[in-house]
Amino acid sequence: MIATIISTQKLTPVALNKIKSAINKKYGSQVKFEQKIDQSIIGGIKITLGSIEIDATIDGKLRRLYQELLSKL
Amino acid sequence: MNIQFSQILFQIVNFSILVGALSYLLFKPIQKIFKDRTKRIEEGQKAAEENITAQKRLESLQKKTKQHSEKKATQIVKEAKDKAKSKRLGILTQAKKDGQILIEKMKNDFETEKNQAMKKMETTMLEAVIAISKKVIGKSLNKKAHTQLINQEIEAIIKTL
Repeated sequence: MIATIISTQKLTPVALNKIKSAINKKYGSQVKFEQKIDQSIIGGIKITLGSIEIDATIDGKLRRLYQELLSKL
Repeated sequence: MNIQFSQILFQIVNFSILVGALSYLLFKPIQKIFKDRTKRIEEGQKAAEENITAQKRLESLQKKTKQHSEKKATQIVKEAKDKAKSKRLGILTQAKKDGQILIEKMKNDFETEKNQAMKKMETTMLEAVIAISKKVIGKSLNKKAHTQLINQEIEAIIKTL
Protein backbone atom coordinates (compact mmCIF):
# COMPACT_ATOMS: atom_id res chain seq x y z
CA MET A 1 0.00 0.00 0.00
CA ILE A 2 1.33 3.43 -0.90
CA ALA A 3 0.41 6.59 1.00
CA THR A 4 0.79 9.77 -1.00
CA ILE A 5 1.34 12.97 0.97
CA ILE A 6 0.53 16.10 -1.03
CA SER A 7 1.48 19.55 0.19
CA THR A 8 2.63 22.93 -1.12
CA GLN A 9 6.14 22.42 0.23
CA LYS A 10 8.25 19.56 1.47
CA LEU A 11 7.35 18.43 4.97
CA THR A 12 9.83 18.88 7.78
CA PRO A 13 11.36 15.59 8.98
CA VAL A 14 9.54 15.96 12.33
CA ALA A 15 6.19 16.46 10.66
CA LEU A 16 6.84 13.61 8.23
CA ASN A 17 7.76 11.20 11.00
CA LYS A 18 4.68 12.17 12.97
CA ILE A 19 2.35 11.39 10.12
CA LYS A 20 4.21 8.21 9.19
CA SER A 21 3.95 6.86 12.74
CA ALA A 22 0.27 7.67 12.95
CA ILE A 23 -0.49 5.94 9.63
CA ASN A 24 1.68 2.93 10.37
CA LYS A 25 -0.06 2.60 13.73
CA LYS A 26 -3.45 2.61 12.06
CA TYR A 27 -2.78 0.66 8.87
CA GLY A 28 0.31 -1.41 9.60
CA SER A 29 3.96 -0.91 8.75
CA GLN A 30 3.62 -2.25 5.19
CA VAL A 31 2.65 1.24 4.08
CA LYS A 32 5.09 3.02 1.80
CA PHE A 33 5.18 6.81 1.64
CA GLU A 34 5.71 9.24 -1.18
CA GLN A 35 5.59 13.03 -1.16
CA LYS A 36 4.20 15.25 -3.87
CA ILE A 37 4.31 19.04 -4.17
CA ASP A 38 1.18 20.64 -5.61
CA GLN A 39 0.60 24.40 -5.42
CA SER A 40 -3.03 24.04 -6.54
CA ILE A 41 -4.03 22.90 -3.05
CA ILE A 42 -3.13 26.45 -1.89
CA GLY A 43 -2.14 25.29 1.59
CA GLY A 44 -2.48 22.45 4.07
CA ILE A 45 -1.99 18.74 3.39
CA LYS A 46 -3.73 15.85 1.67
CA ILE A 47 -3.06 12.17 2.24
CA THR A 48 -4.33 9.44 -0.08
CA LEU A 49 -4.05 5.80 0.88
CA GLY A 50 -5.67 3.50 -1.61
CA SER A 51 -9.33 4.47 -1.66
CA ILE A 52 -8.99 6.56 1.48
CA GLU A 53 -8.42 10.29 1.13
CA ILE A 54 -7.80 12.71 3.97
CA ASP A 55 -8.18 16.25 2.64
CA ALA A 56 -6.97 18.99 4.95
CA THR A 57 -6.08 21.42 2.18
CA ILE A 58 -7.34 24.99 1.84
CA ASP A 59 -8.57 24.13 -1.62
CA GLY A 60 -10.59 21.22 -0.21
CA LYS A 61 -12.05 23.38 2.54
CA LEU A 62 -13.06 26.07 0.12
CA ARG A 63 -14.67 23.47 -2.12
CA ARG A 64 -16.67 22.05 0.78
CA LEU A 65 -17.69 25.56 1.80
CA TYR A 66 -18.82 26.25 -1.76
CA GLN A 67 -20.91 23.05 -1.84
CA GLU A 68 -22.54 23.85 1.46
CA LEU A 69 -23.40 27.42 0.49
CA LEU A 70 -24.67 26.23 -2.89
CA SER A 71 -27.04 23.74 -1.26
CA LYS A 72 -28.51 26.58 0.82
CA LEU A 73 -29.29 28.82 -2.18
CA MET B 1 -165.20 36.33 -106.43
CA ASN B 2 -165.40 32.54 -106.37
CA ILE B 3 -164.13 30.99 -103.14
CA GLN B 4 -163.28 27.41 -103.85
CA PHE B 5 -163.26 25.45 -100.67
CA SER B 6 -161.41 22.60 -102.28
CA GLN B 7 -158.61 24.90 -103.09
CA ILE B 8 -158.59 26.27 -99.56
CA LEU B 9 -158.74 22.78 -98.21
CA PHE B 10 -155.99 21.72 -100.53
CA GLN B 11 -153.92 24.70 -99.42
CA ILE B 12 -154.61 23.96 -95.82
CA VAL B 13 -153.60 20.33 -96.27
CA ASN B 14 -150.67 21.36 -98.29
CA PHE B 15 -149.62 23.87 -95.67
CA SER B 16 -150.12 21.34 -92.90
CA ILE B 17 -148.00 18.82 -94.71
CA LEU B 18 -145.40 21.51 -95.24
CA VAL B 19 -145.47 22.54 -91.59
CA GLY B 20 -145.36 18.92 -90.56
CA ALA B 21 -142.51 18.13 -92.91
CA LEU B 22 -140.65 21.29 -91.92
CA SER B 23 -141.23 20.66 -88.25
CA TYR B 24 -139.88 17.13 -88.57
CA LEU B 25 -137.10 17.78 -90.95
CA LEU B 26 -136.04 21.26 -89.89
CA PHE B 27 -137.53 22.38 -86.65
CA LYS B 28 -136.52 19.36 -84.59
CA PRO B 29 -132.91 19.29 -85.81
CA ILE B 30 -132.57 23.03 -85.31
CA GLN B 31 -134.08 22.68 -81.88
CA LYS B 32 -131.66 19.90 -81.15
CA ILE B 33 -128.83 22.07 -82.38
CA PHE B 34 -129.93 24.92 -80.14
CA LYS B 35 -130.36 22.51 -77.22
CA ASP B 36 -126.89 21.10 -77.79
CA ARG B 37 -125.48 24.59 -78.10
CA THR B 38 -127.19 25.64 -74.90
CA LYS B 39 -125.91 22.52 -73.20
CA ARG B 40 -122.38 23.23 -74.42
CA ILE B 41 -122.61 26.82 -73.25
CA GLU B 42 -123.89 25.70 -69.88
CA GLU B 43 -121.13 23.12 -69.61
CA GLY B 44 -118.57 25.73 -70.57
CA GLN B 45 -119.94 28.12 -67.99
CA LYS B 46 -119.91 25.38 -65.37
CA ALA B 47 -116.32 24.50 -66.27
CA ALA B 48 -115.36 28.16 -66.14
CA GLU B 49 -116.98 28.51 -62.73
CA GLU B 50 -115.18 25.41 -61.53
CA ASN B 51 -111.91 26.82 -62.83
CA ILE B 52 -112.55 30.07 -61.05
CA THR B 53 -113.30 28.19 -57.83
CA ALA B 54 -110.21 26.04 -58.23
CA GLN B 55 -108.13 29.12 -58.95
CA LYS B 56 -109.49 30.84 -55.87
CA ARG B 57 -108.72 27.77 -53.81
CA LEU B 58 -105.22 27.64 -55.27
CA GLU B 59 -104.67 31.32 -54.57
CA SER B 60 -105.84 30.83 -51.01
CA LEU B 61 -103.51 27.85 -50.64
CA GLN B 62 -100.62 29.82 -52.11
CA LYS B 63 -101.33 32.67 -49.71
CA LYS B 64 -101.40 30.30 -46.74
CA THR B 65 -98.20 28.57 -47.89
CA LYS B 66 -96.49 31.92 -48.36
CA GLN B 67 -97.54 33.07 -44.90
CA HIS B 68 -96.38 29.80 -43.38
CA SER B 69 -93.04 29.98 -45.21
CA GLU B 70 -92.49 33.57 -44.14
CA LYS B 71 -93.32 32.67 -40.56
CA LYS B 72 -90.97 29.69 -40.71
CA ALA B 73 -88.20 31.76 -42.31
CA THR B 74 -88.58 34.43 -39.61
CA GLN B 75 -88.41 31.74 -36.96
CA ILE B 76 -85.31 30.18 -38.52
CA VAL B 77 -83.59 33.56 -38.75
CA LYS B 78 -84.46 34.31 -35.12
CA GLU B 79 -83.17 30.93 -33.98
CA ALA B 80 -79.98 31.40 -35.98
CA LYS B 81 -79.45 34.86 -34.46
CA ASP B 82 -80.03 33.54 -30.94
CA LYS B 83 -77.66 30.65 -31.59
CA ALA B 84 -75.02 32.98 -32.98
CA LYS B 85 -75.39 35.30 -29.99
CA SER B 86 -75.09 32.44 -27.56
CA LYS B 87 -72.06 31.05 -29.42
CA ARG B 88 -70.45 34.49 -29.49
CA LEU B 89 -70.89 34.81 -25.72
CA GLY B 90 -69.45 31.34 -25.30
CA ILE B 91 -66.44 32.18 -27.45
CA LEU B 92 -65.85 35.44 -25.57
CA THR B 93 -66.08 33.70 -22.20
CA GLN B 94 -63.71 30.96 -23.34
CA ALA B 95 -61.33 33.52 -24.80
CA LYS B 96 -61.34 35.39 -21.47
CA LYS B 97 -60.64 32.17 -19.59
CA ASP B 98 -57.87 31.21 -22.00
CA GLY B 99 -56.43 34.69 -21.68
CA GLN B 100 -56.39 34.47 -17.90
CA ILE B 101 -54.79 31.03 -18.00
CA LEU B 102 -52.15 32.33 -20.40
CA ILE B 103 -51.46 35.32 -18.16
CA GLU B 104 -51.11 33.04 -15.12
CA LYS B 105 -48.79 30.76 -17.03
CA MET B 106 -46.69 33.70 -18.19
CA LYS B 107 -46.53 35.00 -14.63
CA ASN B 108 -45.41 31.59 -13.38
CA ASP B 109 -42.88 31.25 -16.19
CA PHE B 110 -41.55 34.71 -15.41
CA GLU B 111 -41.22 33.86 -11.70
CA THR B 112 -39.47 30.59 -12.53
CA GLU B 113 -37.07 32.29 -14.90
CA LYS B 114 -36.46 35.08 -12.42
CA ASN B 115 -35.68 32.56 -9.68
CA GLN B 116 -33.41 30.61 -11.99
CA ALA B 117 -31.60 33.77 -13.01
CA MET B 118 -31.22 34.79 -9.35
CA LYS B 119 -29.85 31.38 -8.47
CA LYS B 120 -27.45 31.47 -11.39
CA MET B 121 -26.30 34.93 -10.37
CA GLU B 122 -25.79 33.82 -6.78
CA THR B 123 -23.90 30.73 -7.94
CA THR B 124 -21.69 32.85 -10.17
CA MET B 125 -21.05 35.27 -7.29
CA LEU B 126 -20.23 32.37 -4.98
CA GLU B 127 -17.82 30.91 -7.53
CA ALA B 128 -16.20 34.31 -7.89
CA VAL B 129 -15.86 34.69 -4.11
CA ILE B 130 -14.31 31.23 -3.79
CA ALA B 131 -11.91 31.90 -6.67
CA ILE B 132 -10.89 35.25 -5.20
CA SER B 133 -10.51 33.67 -1.75
CA LYS B 134 -8.18 31.03 -3.21
CA LYS B 135 -6.04 33.68 -4.83
CA VAL B 136 -5.96 35.95 -1.80
CA ILE B 137 -5.19 33.13 0.66
CA GLY B 138 -2.57 31.68 -1.69
CA LYS B 139 -0.80 35.02 -1.97
CA SER B 140 -1.04 35.84 1.70
CA LEU B 141 0.59 32.63 2.94
CA ASN B 142 4.37 32.72 3.24
CA LYS B 143 6.65 29.71 3.79
CA LYS B 144 6.40 29.98 7.56
CA ALA B 145 2.65 30.20 7.45
CA HIS B 146 2.51 27.16 5.14
CA THR B 147 4.66 25.18 7.55
CA GLN B 148 2.50 26.19 10.49
CA LEU B 149 -0.65 25.29 8.63
CA ILE B 150 0.74 21.89 7.58
CA ASN B 151 1.76 21.12 11.17
CA GLN B 152 -1.66 22.12 12.47
CA GLU B 153 -3.41 19.93 9.94
CA ILE B 154 -1.11 17.00 10.69
CA GLU B 155 -2.00 17.31 14.40
CA ALA B 156 -5.67 17.36 13.53
CA ILE B 157 -5.32 14.33 11.20
CA ILE B 158 -3.44 12.36 13.84
CA LYS B 159 -6.26 13.04 16.32
CA THR B 160 -8.84 11.66 13.91
CA LEU B 161 -6.83 8.55 12.93
